[in-house]
Amino acid sequence: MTRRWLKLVAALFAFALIAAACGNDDDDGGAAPAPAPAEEEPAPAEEEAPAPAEEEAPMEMTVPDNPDNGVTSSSIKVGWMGDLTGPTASSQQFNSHGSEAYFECANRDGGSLGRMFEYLPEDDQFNADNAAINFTKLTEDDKILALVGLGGSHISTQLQPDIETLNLPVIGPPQTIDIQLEGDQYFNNLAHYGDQADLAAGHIAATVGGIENAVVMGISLEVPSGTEFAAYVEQSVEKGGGTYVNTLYVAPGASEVTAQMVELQAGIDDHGVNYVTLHGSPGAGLVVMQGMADVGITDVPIIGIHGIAANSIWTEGPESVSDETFGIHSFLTANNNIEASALMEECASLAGYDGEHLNLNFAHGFLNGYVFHQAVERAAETGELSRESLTEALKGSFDTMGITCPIDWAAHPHHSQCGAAFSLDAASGGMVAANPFSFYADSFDGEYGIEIG
Amino acid sequence: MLLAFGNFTADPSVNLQLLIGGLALGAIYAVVALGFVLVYKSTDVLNLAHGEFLMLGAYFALTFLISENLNFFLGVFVLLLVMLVFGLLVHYGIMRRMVGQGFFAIVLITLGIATIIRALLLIFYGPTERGRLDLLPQGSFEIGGATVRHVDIIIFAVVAGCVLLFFLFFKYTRLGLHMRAVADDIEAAAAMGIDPDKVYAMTWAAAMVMAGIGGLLFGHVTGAIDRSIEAIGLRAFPAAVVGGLTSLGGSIVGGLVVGVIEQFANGHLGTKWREPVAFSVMFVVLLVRPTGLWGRKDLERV
Repeated sequence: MTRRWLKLVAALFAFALIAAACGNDDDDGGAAPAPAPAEEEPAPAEEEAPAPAEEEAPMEMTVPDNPDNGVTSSSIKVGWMGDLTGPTASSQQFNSHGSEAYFECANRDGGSLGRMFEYLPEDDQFNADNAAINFTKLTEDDKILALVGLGGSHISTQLQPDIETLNLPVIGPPQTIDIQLEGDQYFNNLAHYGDQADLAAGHIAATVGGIENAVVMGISLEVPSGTEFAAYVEQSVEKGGGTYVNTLYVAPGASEVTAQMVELQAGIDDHGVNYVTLHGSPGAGLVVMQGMADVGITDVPIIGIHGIAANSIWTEGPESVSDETFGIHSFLTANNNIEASALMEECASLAGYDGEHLNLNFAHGFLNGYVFHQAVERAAETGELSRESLTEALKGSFDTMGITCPIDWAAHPHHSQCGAAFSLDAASGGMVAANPFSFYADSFDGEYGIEIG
Repeated sequence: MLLAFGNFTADPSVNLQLLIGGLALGAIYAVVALGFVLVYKSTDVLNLAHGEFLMLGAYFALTFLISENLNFFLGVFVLLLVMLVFGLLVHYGIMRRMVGQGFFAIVLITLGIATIIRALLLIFYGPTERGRLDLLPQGSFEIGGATVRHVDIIIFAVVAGCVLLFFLFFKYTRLGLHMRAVADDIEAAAAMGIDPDKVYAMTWAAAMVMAGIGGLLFGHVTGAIDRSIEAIGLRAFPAAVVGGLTSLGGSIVGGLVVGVIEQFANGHLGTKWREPVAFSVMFVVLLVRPTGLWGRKDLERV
């Protein structure tokens, strides 16, 4: 018996060795390295980069403990909920890493209000049941002050009543949906699907010489947000006088899209389709792009949602298609020479996520941490730090270090109409916008709550 | 909105494209089904981890052929060698302990192996997707307005070659004969001096090699290599069942039939019908022929 177990252990160990050798490759998709000790990090950037929330953080300010709201004598607890190992992890993990990196830097610089930030990420694998358990842990056991990030529209929807009941502020979830616009506790900084559709229409119009010249076909994952985005695109395109031909749906996890490509080709031949809008994860986006390349559809450009604005779309996708592909997002990465550039790179390195500062979702998570930090210190000015005081403090404007448009959550709903069409800049390895945020500002019609037929 | 699904039914080039796409998909299903059949035929184990085995093959192919940039033939050799060793480890480390145990206990063990493989791949490779492999010829040509990829032809050839090889192996080699004997009656085979343990070990090794070949081929046709590709195991399951879980030839026919049916369902009814139709075909076949179209019917003395 013992021998057999030893052999089993040996077998697993051998596999682990093989896999470890295999995982040790040079591309950017591998597991993140272990965090390096802060002492070993080079210091020069420290002087150039602004310390996190430095201007608004008087060192002497403090507040009484409020352990039921995540404020202990030594820490301020902030949670993150999302998919770290499930089907959308390739997007969401960067978001969590961004927040973690920000808090690492903030803690290195002394934390806030005489306390350290305690960052508590919880992985739900995009599963609503797991998310419910994680939410209970974070709110009842850890008693967090707020969430920075709450991934998954189905999860957001499910937890909405509890979030409102607990007065739990949610800063910068990685999707903006109707129900969040209705809630008091959500502070969104990623463009709503309706805004992304408007932006897509604006981008298409600029490319084809006016929206009236656009003949658009949508390709969406067969999930509720896919249907919603497609409906918004149809509305935005047709409102401007363009033509929306059809939406093609792709099953989550599909490995090929032959049938969809047949209909796309029919749309091109019969209706003159000259643009494709794309909804999905980076993996689904790659499947569609490969499908287009396989049948020779390489001259119809693509614009996709924020899920498509991932570096892997350009590094791993077929060049013939990715050259004409853009993804919509609301943030700028460190290669864009913004105020936060040096700090983002430095904090990514400090947290052990070298290179991730070139990813848009990392920038989003980083910004969420920075906004939370500012809001905590603003709330503390009232003499107490609680979910209620933080919620009130969030209803205002915040510095973004240039990562996104100026944030002003004074009016309800608390969200941001900010976005641009991005693609990969091969020279820097980071994402760059085709045009500045201001270029797309006129595209947004501010209409939400579309009815899906 | 101008179009509704299904309005191109009469276009022959469209249907030809769906047929070719279905055959290409079916060839991949056949590769996976071959793995199911190989293990089931020789060990009576329904291996629900085969999709993960194939995924392992695809990731190892990425490592040896892309990251390590080995010569193609050397890389493939190393890949298959590693998969073979892994198959032996699966048998000697886990499955040997399960010989003689209940059917469902063994199925659950294979599910456990699948879970471990998924977790290890996540730990060592991370969640970020990789692009398609492009080491085999990537071009295409047209027939009747439909596109045929070179890589699909190669997959057909490899699958047909594997079936032929396994057929010859089972029919004419000593080890193949031993495998058949053990599958028919393990006690009688053991009484005749055949070591079932070694036969099972070779079976798992062969199945893993098959998964390595499948992973290498699938890595050339899937749009992205990520952990979602393990779903190919579930999707190919109807192919194995339709063909008959004990028939090597049946697995290739089952794969092609299911691939084509899925593709037409997707093209004419919509993507949501793709899997329901495939599994409906499986149900119908099972109702009419519980052993699948070419499966072996076990006779028991009473």
